[in-house]
Amino acid sequence: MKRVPLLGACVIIAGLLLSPAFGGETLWVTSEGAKLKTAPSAVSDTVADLSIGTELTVIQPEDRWYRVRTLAGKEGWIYRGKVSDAAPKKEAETADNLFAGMQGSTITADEAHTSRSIRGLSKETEQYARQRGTPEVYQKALDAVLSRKVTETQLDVFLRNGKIGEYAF
Amino acid sequence: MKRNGMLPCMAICFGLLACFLHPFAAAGSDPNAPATGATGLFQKLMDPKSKEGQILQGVGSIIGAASEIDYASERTIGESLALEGFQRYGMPVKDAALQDYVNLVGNAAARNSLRPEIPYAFVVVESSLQNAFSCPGGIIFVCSGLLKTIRDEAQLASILAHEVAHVGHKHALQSIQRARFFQGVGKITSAAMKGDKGKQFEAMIGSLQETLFDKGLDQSMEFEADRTAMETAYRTGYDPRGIIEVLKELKRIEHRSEKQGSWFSTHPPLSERIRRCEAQMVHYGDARSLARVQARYTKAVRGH
Repeated sequence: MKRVPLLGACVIIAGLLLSPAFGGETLWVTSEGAKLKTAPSAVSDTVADLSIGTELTVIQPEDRWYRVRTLAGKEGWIYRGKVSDAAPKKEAETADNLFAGMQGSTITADEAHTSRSIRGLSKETEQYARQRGTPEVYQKALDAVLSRKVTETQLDVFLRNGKIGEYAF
Repeated sequence: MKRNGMLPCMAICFGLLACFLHPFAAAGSDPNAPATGATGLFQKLMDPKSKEGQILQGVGSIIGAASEIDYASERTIGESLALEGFQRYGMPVKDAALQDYVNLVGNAAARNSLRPEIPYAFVVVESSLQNAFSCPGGIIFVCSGLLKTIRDEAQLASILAHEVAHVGHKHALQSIQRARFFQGVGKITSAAMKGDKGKQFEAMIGSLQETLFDKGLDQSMEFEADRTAMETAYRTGYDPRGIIEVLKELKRIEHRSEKQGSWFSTHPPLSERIRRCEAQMVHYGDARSLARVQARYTKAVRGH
């Protein structure tokens, strides 16, 4: 009689050992610019753009890509570097209002739907510079640095040309 | 400080004040009399319109942790520090293509960092020092001297990722969170930059300069930034061994390099950093097959 529970335990353990790693596991999107693709390739079609914090269930891991499903039921492939097994910490402000009234992000969505504005140094920084007597040349230098933008497209082209990350194959 | 922490905090302050002032309180409390000594102070503290009263009310909004500084305030601190950074290290190199390149590598890595949603800006400044540093809010400096030590894009990405990691962990903010400036200040506004507060802000930026440019952050923060840098580089798709190679090269040239204001004086001993990074490589089994991109790097920094 004692053999049955022992056998059952062996079956369960064998099942756990043989099941693929991550199968059914939850992952979260933790990188900016993450995309769900139709195949494990950055040049395949995009099923959906995934925002940071999106929860995913792993269907099948394969080398550097995972086949996943979103809570809404969309399936596709995501590059391993874009996800984590821990949910991301949120910034105090959301991405939408993060830059309201101040310096915008240096990564912009493609020009068609850029909504963040560039304002240069914050007025509090300008005040600091005035009180310190900081020569204008340094303020202008910082302004130029902060105004330099990269678009999502530029970054993707950059990664693709360098065969980096999701563009490695 | 959370709202429900404000009441006990104020109660403690009142209690302490009551213990201190009780011998004087009985001496009379005519509101029209000129405030004198401890009695006058106590009256002022009780008056919500007085400066002292407002400071006491501000107890509830003391920035008690780096995580409570809002991004706009963090950015103001970072921008102010950046202005000092140019004056200390040098102006941006006049090579727009190089600046764009470094900005692309940095942003590519930052997208996969601990705080990918904030804006990052990377600048190469004209300086022979082996140095890179990050300002709160995401403004990151690299000295042109360090670019000469770096050999490929994976190495550059790892160094930039190290600086991005400091921003991700809010290390610099932690080093100043006890600054006098933050007492009674919730957000940094123009009003908070005036008069005595303005002077305290300047002192705080001065202290940040001393930490980042001369003394260095806590060693544990540097080790943490190294670990996170390797993770970020790997996630982006660069060989995380890049950082080990840069550290080894810095070790090789250390004896003949300027120490003051460089990574040599502000960071833990290189051999210990190398040892810890080597130990972490065990997590990156396929690292050797990841991107190095040497040709693009060499072309970008040519002439510098």
